[in-house]
Amino acid sequence: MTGQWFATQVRQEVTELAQVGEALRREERLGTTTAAVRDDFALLLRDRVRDLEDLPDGDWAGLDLLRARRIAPVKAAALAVLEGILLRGHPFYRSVTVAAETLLDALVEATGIGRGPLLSVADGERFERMAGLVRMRFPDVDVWGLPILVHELGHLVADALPEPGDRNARPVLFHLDRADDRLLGELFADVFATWALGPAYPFAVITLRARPDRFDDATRTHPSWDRRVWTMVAALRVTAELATDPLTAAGHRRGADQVARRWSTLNGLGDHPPKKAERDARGLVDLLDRNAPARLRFDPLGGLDPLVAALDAGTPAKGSPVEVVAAAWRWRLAHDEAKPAKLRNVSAAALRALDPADA
Amino acid sequence: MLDLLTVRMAELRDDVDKVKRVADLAESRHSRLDGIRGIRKEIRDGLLDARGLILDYRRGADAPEVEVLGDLDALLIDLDRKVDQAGVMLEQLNGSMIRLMNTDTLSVRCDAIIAELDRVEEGFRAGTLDRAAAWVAVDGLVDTTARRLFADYVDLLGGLTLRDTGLDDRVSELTDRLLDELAAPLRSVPARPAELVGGQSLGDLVMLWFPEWTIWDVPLFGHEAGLAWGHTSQLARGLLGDSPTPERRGLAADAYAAYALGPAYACAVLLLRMRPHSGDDVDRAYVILELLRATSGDGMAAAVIQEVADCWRGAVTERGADPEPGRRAELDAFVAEARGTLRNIGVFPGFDSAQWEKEAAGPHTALTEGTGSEATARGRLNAAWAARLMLTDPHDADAVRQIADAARALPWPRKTGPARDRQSGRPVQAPYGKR
Repeated sequence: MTGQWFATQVRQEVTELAQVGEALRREERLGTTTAAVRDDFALLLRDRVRDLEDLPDGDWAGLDLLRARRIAPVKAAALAVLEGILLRGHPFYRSVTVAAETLLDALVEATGIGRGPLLSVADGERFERMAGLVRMRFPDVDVWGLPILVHELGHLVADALPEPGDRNARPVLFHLDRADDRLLGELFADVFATWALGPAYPFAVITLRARPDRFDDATRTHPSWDRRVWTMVAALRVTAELATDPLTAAGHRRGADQVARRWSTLNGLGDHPPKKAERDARGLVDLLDRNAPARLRFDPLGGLDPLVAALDAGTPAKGSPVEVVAAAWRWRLAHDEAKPAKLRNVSAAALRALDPADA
Repeated sequence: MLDLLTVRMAELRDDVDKVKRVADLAESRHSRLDGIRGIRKEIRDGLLDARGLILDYRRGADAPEVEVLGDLDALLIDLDRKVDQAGVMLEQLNGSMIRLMNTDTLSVRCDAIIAELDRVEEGFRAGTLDRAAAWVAVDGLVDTTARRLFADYVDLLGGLTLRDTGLDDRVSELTDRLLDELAAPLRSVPARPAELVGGQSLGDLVMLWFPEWTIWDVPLFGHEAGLAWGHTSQLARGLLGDSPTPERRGLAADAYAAYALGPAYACAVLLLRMRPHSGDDVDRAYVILELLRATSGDGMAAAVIQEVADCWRGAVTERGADPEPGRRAELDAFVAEARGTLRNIGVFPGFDSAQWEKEAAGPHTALTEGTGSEATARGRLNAAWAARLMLTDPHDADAVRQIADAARALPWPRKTGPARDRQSGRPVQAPYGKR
């Protein structure tokens, strides 16, 4: 009787996992999610079914452990994906979700890693490795937080970026596997976002997330804001050193100077990156320079003025997703005192520019 | 008996007259060119008549020997093409020839010397001036005023020759276009370095140092145009005040040039001219860079300014000077006032970020294919400097020369011609020099 009862519960779990798979399969509004991502999820579910089938009859403790440690996270991830999809259909949330997809898809294509993240929401931005899930921050609905999502994408890139000529090598993961600095992964994600978006990313971090009362406090999972921002500044300087021509180098240096000036004005603690930030940035930028396609690198020579003017006027703005986000932040920096209504208008113009349907 | 004082006075008068005649002759070069144009037209008309005769003959007879006239017609067509080519060369020559806008200004100094000579002669004859005083007056004229005049005019004629013969690589054409765009009543000629030439003005002529007579130096004319603006514009008076110091005039001219020419002015004046150990030049550089930072937006134009500023700052520090101006607040106020004033210039638009986007954002394409019917000299100069700073090795002399050659060789669009599509974008690799 006990064995039958145990088998019934195992079958129930298997059925539920199949239903999760079916729910994802039937969901036609997975946005621009690639087939590869769906396949990844299907493999994950199949793997858990195999775990269930391998359980010895009556191993209740094993079943509990499997449910808690292996199955529940998959179900939670699937639920998050479906929540994200439902929110995408919501009139209040659609624009920012579509914009995020457009931006992240463009960057995924530029990295050549072949698979994009799944999008969902949570109380704060984060990356969930198991399903490659990027959580957006609820209830953010404007363009300003998009650079933070690029940081989260950086975690996926760290896992998936191969070495040129060796598809199976994972040079970033290898570099980040350091017992003496467990927070280096966060710095890589910062450097990745800076590399791809230019100064727009550090400006977004400084403006939206950095805590003036906790400049120097690191947490268990994240380095201090001071360490993070100076690493971004140093990353821009190293990118300048690696530029192929003096003018591109000058463009990156200019971005670094602007970020450094703003940061040191805010906290008054210093005006240039500490040696450690320079060392970290050099290693991380070098990783991207050697392994990521050149097209991913932000071009500081591309003039954003026409885009900035269009966003300000609310007229149709044409540009790549990275240019639109960079232009929106450039506008915001030039209008520090902008009223909330104006910020909303410019954000709406930027989100329209990031919507393929509008384009 | 021969009177040496009288001989010297006559000789001086004769020399000054000669200068006047040469100045007039210089201006008559254009009428001689017009004569050649007339002859060319007559040749073309004659060729057309001859071809008309051949056509009539061939229509009226079909004998085989008339067929030879077909060969003659082909010969005449070829001649016509060559005359056409000669016409193009003639127009190029005309373009490089300076037209002295006001020959009177060139004669003013001659007239002043003659007038002084008349006064000495009359006084000497009337007995109001004794021989000793007359000798002093004539020596003064010969040793200073006249000597400077003669030196200046030798320079002027040398400069005119360089322009007229095309030995200046069509730089004159570019400078004339630039000065026209700025509506500046000036013309330029190559000259010796400033410290070697006289201090007297040559009227509407601006002397640019030779041999640094290259497209890289052309933006320096912006400063001369700015000085002229300061003397003639009502707007400038508001910026300069009632009795401006030469220094304030210079700063206003720098602000004007930076506004009018954009980053190319900073490139030319900071990279080629200013002295990194000079406090005055540190102030000037500060005004130029701050004005440009306020007008050049972001992207490539901002990168050019950053590169020039970093290079300048490094050199100033290396020479042991302070790259920060001592009176920064005062200069900031001046820049703000200058921006407000310059925005009101209606004759031409400043070379701002929008202009940069149109003409210099794709510098390599701009220099090889042009930027359409609205192309300006300022656009070409900015594109050339941007292309130079984008070289993998900006010290590569061959590559720098190739950019200059491309900028000079590109024909100017016909002002009345149909608009061409604007070319933009950056090629993966610049088509100049070593890579």
